Amino acid sequence: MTCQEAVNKLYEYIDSELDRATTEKIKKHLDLCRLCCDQFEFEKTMKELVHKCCDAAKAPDVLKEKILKSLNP
Amino acid sequence: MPENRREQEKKREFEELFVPLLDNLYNIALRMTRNPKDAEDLVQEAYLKAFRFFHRFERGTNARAWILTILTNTFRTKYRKKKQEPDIVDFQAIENFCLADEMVKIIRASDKSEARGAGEVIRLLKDYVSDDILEALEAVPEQFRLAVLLSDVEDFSYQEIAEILDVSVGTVKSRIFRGRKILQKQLWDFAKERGIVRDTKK
Ligand SMILES: [Zn+2]
Repeated sequence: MTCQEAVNKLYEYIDSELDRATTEKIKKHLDLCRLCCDQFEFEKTMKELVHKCCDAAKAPDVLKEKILKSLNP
Repeated sequence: MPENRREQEKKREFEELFVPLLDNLYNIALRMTRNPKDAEDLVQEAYLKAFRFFHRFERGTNARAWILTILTNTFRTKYRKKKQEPDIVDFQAIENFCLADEMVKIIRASDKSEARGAGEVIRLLKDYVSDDILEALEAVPEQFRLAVLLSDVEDFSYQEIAEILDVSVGTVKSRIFRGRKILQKQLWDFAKERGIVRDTKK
């Protein structure tokens, strides 16, 4: 697998969309290729950051009350 | 079973399935509407619709995906035109943008030794605070933002996202790709605006 081939599948790899054989091929490439490994690591971190900062809010209690109330009029 | 007992049973089941998802839905709604008041209204409306159509929910399937589909559709029909969306982005310029590469250039320019690779770049990336990332997300046009949120925040597969957004898997793939690129470009622009980094090209 070349760097270009690996990078083309970067997002599918970090999103766990690839079959096992392709995943293994990429893993092997990442073990040998520092450049790709860094880039994959970076994109994975980016994904984790987005997850973390979009997961931090708590629904206001009044909203929960309103919803429960509307189910139990 | 008497009518009112059946009704009670239905409510109990609905609450068990969907009330624990409330924080999660609220977070997504906030990122969709970019405004707490609209987010609350949107979530409430989605719950009401979900309850009304609860008989159509197939037991054993993914409840989170089901109610998120309702939330997404409600958002798209009701709120999308309310707040002005960012301008359509110049994709040509963005397609090849890579935030990591830009950061490596900065590190190399500031430090004569060889770039220290991932560690240093990831440290730079982590210098962004939550607010930076949330603000950058707001600049991503809705269709791309939704795809990125469903993947990054909700951890849905491309196939699940395709079903929620009612588009093909190929479209999901390209929206996620573009959404992430736009987000990175935006974060880079912030960094430059604030003088956190200096553009090496200048
Ligand atoms: Zn490589």
